[in-house]
Amino acid sequence: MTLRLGRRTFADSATLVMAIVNRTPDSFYDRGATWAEDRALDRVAQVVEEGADIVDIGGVKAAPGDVVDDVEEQRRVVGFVGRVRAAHPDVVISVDTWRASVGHAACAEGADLLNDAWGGHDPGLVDVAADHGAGLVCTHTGGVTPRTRPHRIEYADVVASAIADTTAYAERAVRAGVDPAGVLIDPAHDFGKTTAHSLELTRRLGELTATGWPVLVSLSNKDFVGETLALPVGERLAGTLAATAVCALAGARVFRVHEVVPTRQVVDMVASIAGRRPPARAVRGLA
Amino acid sequence: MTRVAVVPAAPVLLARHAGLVDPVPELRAACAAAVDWVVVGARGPVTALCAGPSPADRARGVVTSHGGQLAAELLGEALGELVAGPVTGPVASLAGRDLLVLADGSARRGEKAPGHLDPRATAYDDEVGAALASGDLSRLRDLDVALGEELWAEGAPVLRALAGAVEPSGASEVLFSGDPFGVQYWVLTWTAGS
Repeated sequence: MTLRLGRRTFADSATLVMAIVNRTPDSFYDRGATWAEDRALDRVAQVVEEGADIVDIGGVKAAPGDVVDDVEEQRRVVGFVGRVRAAHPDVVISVDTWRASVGHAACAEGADLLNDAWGGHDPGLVDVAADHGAGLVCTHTGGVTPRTRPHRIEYADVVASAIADTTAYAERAVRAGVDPAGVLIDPAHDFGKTTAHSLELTRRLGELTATGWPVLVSLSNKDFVGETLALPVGERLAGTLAATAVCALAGARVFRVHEVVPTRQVVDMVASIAGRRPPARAVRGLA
Repeated sequence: MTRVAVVPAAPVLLARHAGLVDPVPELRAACAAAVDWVVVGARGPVTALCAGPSPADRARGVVTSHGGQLAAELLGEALGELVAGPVTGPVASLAGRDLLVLADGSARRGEKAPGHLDPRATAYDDEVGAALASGDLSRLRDLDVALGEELWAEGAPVLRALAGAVEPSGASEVLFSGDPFGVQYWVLTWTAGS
């Protein structure tokens, strides 16, 4: 399906890299590296230079921690979105938020996409996306409350649950007036899931892409990689890239990541193996 | 008067090998110009002359050589007969036809070349290139095809076959001459008598 996000239109065969930009002092991977706004703007410039198609700006860490209320989240995110929009007119700006109020203010500053990582917790978010002509990422969390860790969650079939919930959310968004060309689904690895659940979602990702909705995967350095390989944060790149390759082969379209360059290389390599992308330059044996 | 063009039988020119970036834009443009010139002035379908599949390719099931495939791509509906080797001597039936010849020089022109460096390659190609450019193809009638085989010059038998069959009416127009990957390529055109 052709994707239309902000000013950009992406062909059916295009794979997109979404770079994570945290406006938080406490996110698990970068631990506040871009908490200072100028540092975050530097990171945006860097990831755009590295080939990111989308930046995903978030003001609240996913895990439990200090309370970040609506006002504080807007303080962290909204003005920054305006600065990114001014500096990078063509990059797709995504905002990682579950709050309709934050989404509304961010879209007014130029955000193109709302990444609802908590799966429709705030029912008003679809209306905000529709009102602003923004896209929406519809994630699967199993119905958990934002910023909670999974605890003893069972699924009869985690993939079936992910498909049912994300496609229902996507259809609800379209009914509310969101442009279908801007709607993505995300099975949300680790969110409301055990490592086994996330591994199974990865193994069976083709069932999500078969729904026809473009699939976003967010795998980067997550605990399911760490638990699988017994590696701490900071040593999970190879595992992340292995999962990235599997999802890319199954047809995932957007990859939300910390490391842009290796992700782009893996996704391009897989696309060429799958026969969806020609090599950059082919001369070997052909002179 | 008939029109004749020589282009390399290089698979890098085939559409199915295209990458995101064209490694040979100048060569490709020269080939297109040469082929256009032949087709525009041709009195009917254009005959293509090239080497057939190598014995090894044939053993692997290949039916049409890369030269033959390229002729089909370059000429499209303008392609008439495809004369694909092995050709061992002058092909008299080529006289009076508009021709696309797919042939190239040695693939042993440097240490990075497909066949590595053979110090004899440059002199060999210089002699062939000079004969092609001059239009005096009689100079290729005794071309040493055995040496050509040692030098990985797949076009040598093709050019020798051409020499006895076609007499250019003057010097060639050389659109491209170079060896970007250690393989000698020529793109040239000429008119032939009768």
